[in-house]
Amino acid sequence: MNFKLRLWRQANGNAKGNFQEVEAQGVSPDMSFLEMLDEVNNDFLREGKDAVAFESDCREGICGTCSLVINGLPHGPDRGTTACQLYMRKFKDGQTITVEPWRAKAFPVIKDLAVDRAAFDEIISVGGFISVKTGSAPDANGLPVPKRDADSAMDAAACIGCGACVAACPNASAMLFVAAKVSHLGHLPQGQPERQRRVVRMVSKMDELGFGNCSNRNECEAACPKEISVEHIARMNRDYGVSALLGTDRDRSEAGA
Amino acid sequence: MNPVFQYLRSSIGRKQLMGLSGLLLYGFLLVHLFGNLGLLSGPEYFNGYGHLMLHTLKKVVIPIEVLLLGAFLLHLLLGFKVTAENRAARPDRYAVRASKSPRTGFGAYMAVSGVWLLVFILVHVPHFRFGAYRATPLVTYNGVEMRDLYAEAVRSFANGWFTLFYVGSFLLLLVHLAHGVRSSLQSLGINHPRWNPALDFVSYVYAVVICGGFSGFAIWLWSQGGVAA
Ligand code: FES
Repeated sequence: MNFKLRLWRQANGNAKGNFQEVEAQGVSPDMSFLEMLDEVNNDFLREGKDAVAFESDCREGICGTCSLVINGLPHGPDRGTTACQLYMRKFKDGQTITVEPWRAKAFPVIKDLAVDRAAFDEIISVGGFISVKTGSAPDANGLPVPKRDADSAMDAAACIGCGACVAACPNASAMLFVAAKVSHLGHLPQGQPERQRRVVRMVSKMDELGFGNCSNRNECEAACPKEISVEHIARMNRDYGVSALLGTDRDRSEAGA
Repeated sequence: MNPVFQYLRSSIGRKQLMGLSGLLLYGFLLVHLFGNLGLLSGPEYFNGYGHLMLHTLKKVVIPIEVLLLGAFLLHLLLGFKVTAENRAARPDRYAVRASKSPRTGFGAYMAVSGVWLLVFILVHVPHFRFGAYRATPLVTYNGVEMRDLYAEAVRSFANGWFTLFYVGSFLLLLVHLAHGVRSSLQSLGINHPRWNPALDFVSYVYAVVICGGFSGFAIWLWSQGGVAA
């Protein structure tokens, strides 16, 4: 298969970027999108040109490192699929494919298609954890968890932190990511001690980092490679209202646990 | 920091206020539509209703009006602020825009429809709410002098452009509400798979009833051709 690619090139966060047009020829339909880009990069290197920077790690859809906006859609046209699991047979032969980085003020471009998602780590560091008893492993089934809660927690825990929700949101809001973390831990008994401070601190951090406000367009849910539902956002909205207005001062403060 | 202050400054707190104020204004529209039904009972009934609301029941109605004005201003200011912040959160736009979400359609026009509705309210409220102290003609029933709002409505809507402006505004209201109602509920944390289809249904039907109702009155008055029944 042959494609005409328009790749976003940007030397660094401060430089002005622009599209570079390249032909990708003889692409196998069974290549993943990233393998196709690897081939393009090989050509660049053979010609002594600068390879296009993009991120990946597991290449099996579980780590959340790959981050490409393909024809305007984060992770491309498939639902519930990361860019590394997207295959070239999904495209039409001869098609023009535009590849852009995640675009958000809170995710500055490092180079080309790679962006800095440290903002997510900052959000996690203020509340995305639980206190655990160290030492011997707890008894299996020692803590009863209703099936429904376990299922919801599991759905939320599927978040791989890729940031497609931010990339897809018209407002570059991180609500789905934060909601997934809040829901994942808040559904389980182990997550209860920090439940109120977790939601308040994570939301405050998210606001502070320059993500936009949620306007319930549900683009995040549609773009999420793990298909995490905006129901978790509604749940976080409830939790936030209660915790922010009724939580203790310590829960609402910026300081650590 | 004071908890209320912190809540009001947060993204979620503001969205919840936005939703609550929106729902309050939305609820008022139904009351307004019921008031309009009085048009069908003729001038004496309708003008009597206006007089009752704006004069006899002043002590009750004015506090409600102040509350609605407060909700309106809050909704407006938050709308501008949130929209500005959201633009700032994505300084570089995408070259290709696409969407996988079925819900995004109406949501994209909240700011545009909101600004239009502001213009509408700036035209409508001074005209019909405060017009008495300017140009609305007066009538006397049983020795009580009151504004002839019925005649004013008939006279105004005889103008095709005026009617078109109203009907167009109601269509934009439909657009605003088609996204706004469910969005408000979501911001307030109301979202459950068992109830979502019902919520969708009720909010769409409500939006259609409100917009269809107001448009119906506008078109009906226009069709009277300026002749008071
Ligand atoms: S590279 Fe790990 S999810 Fe795509």
